Amino acid sequence: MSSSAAEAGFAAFLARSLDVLARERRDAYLALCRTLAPRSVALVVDGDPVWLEFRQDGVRLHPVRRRAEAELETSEAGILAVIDGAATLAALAIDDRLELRGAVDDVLAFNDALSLYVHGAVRSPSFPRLLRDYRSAVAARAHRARAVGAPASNIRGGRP
Amino acid sequence: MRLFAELAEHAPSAAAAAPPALPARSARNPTIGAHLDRSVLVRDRLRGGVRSAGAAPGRKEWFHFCVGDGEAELLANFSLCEDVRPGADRRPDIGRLTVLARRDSYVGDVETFPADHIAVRSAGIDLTFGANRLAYADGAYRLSLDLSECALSACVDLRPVVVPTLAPNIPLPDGPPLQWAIVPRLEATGWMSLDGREHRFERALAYHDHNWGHFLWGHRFSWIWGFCLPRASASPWSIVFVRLANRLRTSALAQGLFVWKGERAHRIFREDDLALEVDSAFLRPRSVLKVPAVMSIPSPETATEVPRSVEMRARADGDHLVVRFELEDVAQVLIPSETDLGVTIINEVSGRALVEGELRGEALRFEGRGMCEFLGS
Repeated sequence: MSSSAAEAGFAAFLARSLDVLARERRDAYLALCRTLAPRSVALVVDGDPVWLEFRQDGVRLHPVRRRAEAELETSEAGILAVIDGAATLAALAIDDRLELRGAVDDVLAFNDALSLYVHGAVRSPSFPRLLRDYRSAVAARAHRARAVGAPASNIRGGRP
Repeated sequence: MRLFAELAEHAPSAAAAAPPALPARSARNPTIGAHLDRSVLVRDRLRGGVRSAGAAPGRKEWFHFCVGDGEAELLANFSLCEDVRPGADRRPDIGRLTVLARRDSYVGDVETFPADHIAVRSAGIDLTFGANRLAYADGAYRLSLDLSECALSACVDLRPVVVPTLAPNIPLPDGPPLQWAIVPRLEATGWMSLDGREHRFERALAYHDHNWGHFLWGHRFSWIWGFCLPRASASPWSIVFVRLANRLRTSALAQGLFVWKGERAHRIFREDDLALEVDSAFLRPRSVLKVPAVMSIPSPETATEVPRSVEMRARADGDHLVVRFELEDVAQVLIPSETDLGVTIINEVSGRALVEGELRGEALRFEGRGMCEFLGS
């Protein structure tokens, strides 16, 4: 993969991972879309936002603000901590390292969709490499941030 | 077909494969005879092979080891699985290594290895998954473990002290029967390193088994399985039990309780000889290790369906035996089901056991430790 792809942020990782799911685990991908449709969801990771618009048969990512029924805000470190089992979603929320906002039904639908995303990811042959590349990109960004003396990121992000 | 057909105690084939080369070990235990060595290489050899056209999908084969000395426990499972994911048509096996270690609480992981990170020798027992290896040579299995995402490594030699037993044709509801080779008692010497702290095993008692067959995770079955080894190593008894049932555990497909004395199989109780009693109260651990960790997102529950105790009562032909497990701690191996987007949960549960009864006019009573496994959804 190109160096720009290797260092791409969370939004790029998310876009590629959804493409992989759509290709390799269409059942999980469609179940995820049906669970959240017709909602839009905002994900803000280290200050970088991305909006996802769900339909019954697919999802589109938007880089510009739009209405969102559920909004998740966290950090790349928080995401990797959950993937690695170092923290649960609930523990991150209690530690103010994650916020999930929305009406109860929308938050519950988001949680169900997250489970379906993981179910698809662990069954997709291409996912381990995708995750490895993302870890490398996160580590590279953290290294650069330390080199320039930037503060550690929190859910409000390292960027303004 | 007779369930748990007669234990295979035939003399080993003279065509047994030569053991693979390994680094030098400590001196061979003189009590381990050539017969036992050949029996391991014949009965416990890797079956492997490629699924033939028309055969059931989901070929699986795994080697399972448990070591414990009262202070620490180590569980390692080398598993080869046919890749049945969509689009995979007779793809090579993938390797799945499960390692659990317990001192105060469980630590561990499941690592998955694509075909190009697996090396398997067709003769004997020799599997390499990345930096991890299982091999049998010079009268012992050697487990070399070095997990990549978990500070856990180990190198342990396990010398069988009981002749391997075959328990063939265990019925499964959705496919051909499962095959089972059991080495219920080994002596384990070596070390494991957990978060930088080393623990040494010195002739600790250990258990090993090996299964192979064709099924998919998510098929409509469950099992309860366990072994018990005495605290006092001078005690000659080794115990294993298993109960295959439907998914809801309301109807048994097969069950058996196996007893070894010294190097040899001594007594088997089957089917109607046995009654299983499961405590209606569940084990309530403060936390449950779930591996691989990412599967705790779709399965975050800390409540388990593991009972606090299990008791198997056997009675037949004047013999009787009660094996009671008091279960203590649990870790969960979460396997993505291959039939749907569900999860197959394997509860690995350590505990202590009390065995009491009379076999062939000989009274036996001992306390021991062991593990039980509860597979379900």
